[in-house]
Amino acid sequence: MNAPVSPSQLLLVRELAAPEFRCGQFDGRWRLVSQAWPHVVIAVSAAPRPNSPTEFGLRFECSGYPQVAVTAQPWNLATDAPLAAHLWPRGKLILPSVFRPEWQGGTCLYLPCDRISMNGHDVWVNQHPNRLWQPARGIICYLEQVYDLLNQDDYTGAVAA
Amino acid sequence: MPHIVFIAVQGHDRLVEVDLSENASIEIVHATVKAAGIEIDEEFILFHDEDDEPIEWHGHKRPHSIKHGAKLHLARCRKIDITIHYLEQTKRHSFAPGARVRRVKAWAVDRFKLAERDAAEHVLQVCGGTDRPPTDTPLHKLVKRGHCELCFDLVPDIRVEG
Repeated sequence: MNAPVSPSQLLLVRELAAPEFRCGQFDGRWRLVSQAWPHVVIAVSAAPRPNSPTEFGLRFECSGYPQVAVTAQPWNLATDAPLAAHLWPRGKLILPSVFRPEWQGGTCLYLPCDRISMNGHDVWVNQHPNRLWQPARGIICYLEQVYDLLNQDDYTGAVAA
Repeated sequence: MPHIVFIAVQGHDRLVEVDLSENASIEIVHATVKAAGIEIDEEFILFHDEDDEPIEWHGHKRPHSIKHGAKLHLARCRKIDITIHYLEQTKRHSFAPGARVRRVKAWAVDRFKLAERDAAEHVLQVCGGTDRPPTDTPLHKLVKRGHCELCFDLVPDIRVEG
């Protein structure tokens, strides 16, 4: 007998099939790699940089979606395992403040929309209102931020796996 | 063979997805949008992605320019007048309603003659608020109802700290 499917899982599946997510896939901004509730692995495209990959994997943990924010860990798509710290994307100013392998053991991004990172950072509500989790937009609001970070001049690349 | 396009309608947050056959007319676009619960009238103009000119679509033949996966915009505004403030300077320019924030920033960086490093450290923020829209956002999503103008401040981006 099949296990019951939670409303959160159904809502996530619906979001991944919605035009907003599919349009991002057609645009080449991101692509769905795999799903195994409560996780989903999505590759986000990155601007071309020397000796760097064209995309970075993120493994999202989506329990309680979308009322509870997701959390995402940089993920090695080739080995289906956490991305080693020396392969994380690098940058000059903004990017290094978000991609911090030493933060929480590299299990999440240092973003105000990340469930783990937002804990204890109430000040972010005023400091970074545009980076907060938005339940109405769901995983798209997280993906848009990561895509922007990996496609701005601040991003300097990473050693290809 | 499916020919999927995505339609963003001015004044509405959600995209509409439609499968356009080769002999589709523009009425199919209008009907699909209305079926999605979005009210539109004859004042709405159809644009392809960031194009300056509206789509010319006559009869039952899908324009060649509309590729599989294309993004279309149904906008009330023919153009959107943009004002950008940077320090004590102000520049103005008109963009297509489907033009993305990334294009506006690139224009501003050029017109204000920002150095490469400064450009990387600045973002566009909607005047009078804190909204720093994602760079793929089309301009018509940001204008207020009944308006065709928009104001940005070009401001330093800030590190996530604390």
